[in-house]
Amino acid sequence: MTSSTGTKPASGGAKDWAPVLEQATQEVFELMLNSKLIRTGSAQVNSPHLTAMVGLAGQLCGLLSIRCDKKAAALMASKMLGLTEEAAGNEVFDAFGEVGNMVAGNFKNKIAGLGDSCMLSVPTVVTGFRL
Amino acid sequence: MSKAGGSSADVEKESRKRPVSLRLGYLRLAFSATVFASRHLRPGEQDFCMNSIRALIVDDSSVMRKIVERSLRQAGIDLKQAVEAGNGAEALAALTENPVDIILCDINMPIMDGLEFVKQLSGVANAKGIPVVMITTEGSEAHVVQAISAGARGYIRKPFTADQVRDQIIPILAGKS
Repeated sequence: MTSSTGTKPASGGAKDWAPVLEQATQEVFELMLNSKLIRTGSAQVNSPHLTAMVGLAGQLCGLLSIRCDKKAAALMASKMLGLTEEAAGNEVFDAFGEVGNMVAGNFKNKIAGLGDSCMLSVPTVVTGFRL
Repeated sequence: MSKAGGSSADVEKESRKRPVSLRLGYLRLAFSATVFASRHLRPGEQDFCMNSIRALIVDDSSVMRKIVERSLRQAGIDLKQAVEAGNGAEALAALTENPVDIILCDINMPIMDGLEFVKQLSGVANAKGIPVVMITTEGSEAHVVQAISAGARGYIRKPFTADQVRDQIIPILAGKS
């Protein structure tokens, strides 16, 4: 995996970060979940769903959130742990939080200069309807 | 080993596409996730390793501890025992009762982080000479330097593959790194 794209935080800002965020997300899904992510126009997530949130603080401040339905989160947990979806049931929240954590970490590591000057929060996962 | 992805046949076979959306500030990304069937090791692929080892896995996420353990096994390491700890303080306590051959440790953890844990290892009799490999999302050069300065022997960035685990761990266990 490449660790840096050389993108600078101040060079155009968030507009330039979309492909970096896309790549960071795809790498996490490929390497940790053996899954392929295809960018689409919209993602209709059925309720109830899970949202994992990771705060970024420092040179870049914000909140990264990733959302999917419960079935997808269970599937992710099962792929990460090598278990059936049923057996991974108790670990779904923790696993989905780790996905968010890795996406945020991988993203900031790809932005030159952010690695040292941007801190990540502990991931938080919430579930419900119409979040 | 454990190459990501798969053939189109895999996609059709599994056919488990799921929508995933992601936000950062005003950025909105939407994806369709296709999950491939699990890849199993080919016969013999797993059998290149050395004597069985005991590992201490330190991470505040129980899922990540299990993933690290699974990756060690996928990397062909004969894991006799995996001792788990949720932070550096728990790991120090675990070491007093569980001698291990290698320690794999996260950096960002509550109570005692990985860097502080590595620094304190020098005072633990059971930990003398035990190699430590950091496994973390903190991939900046400064963090790597900090970890190595504190006494870590290796550094694996999340996300990682079993190949990367093997490439880091095997030379260390073989005393070549």
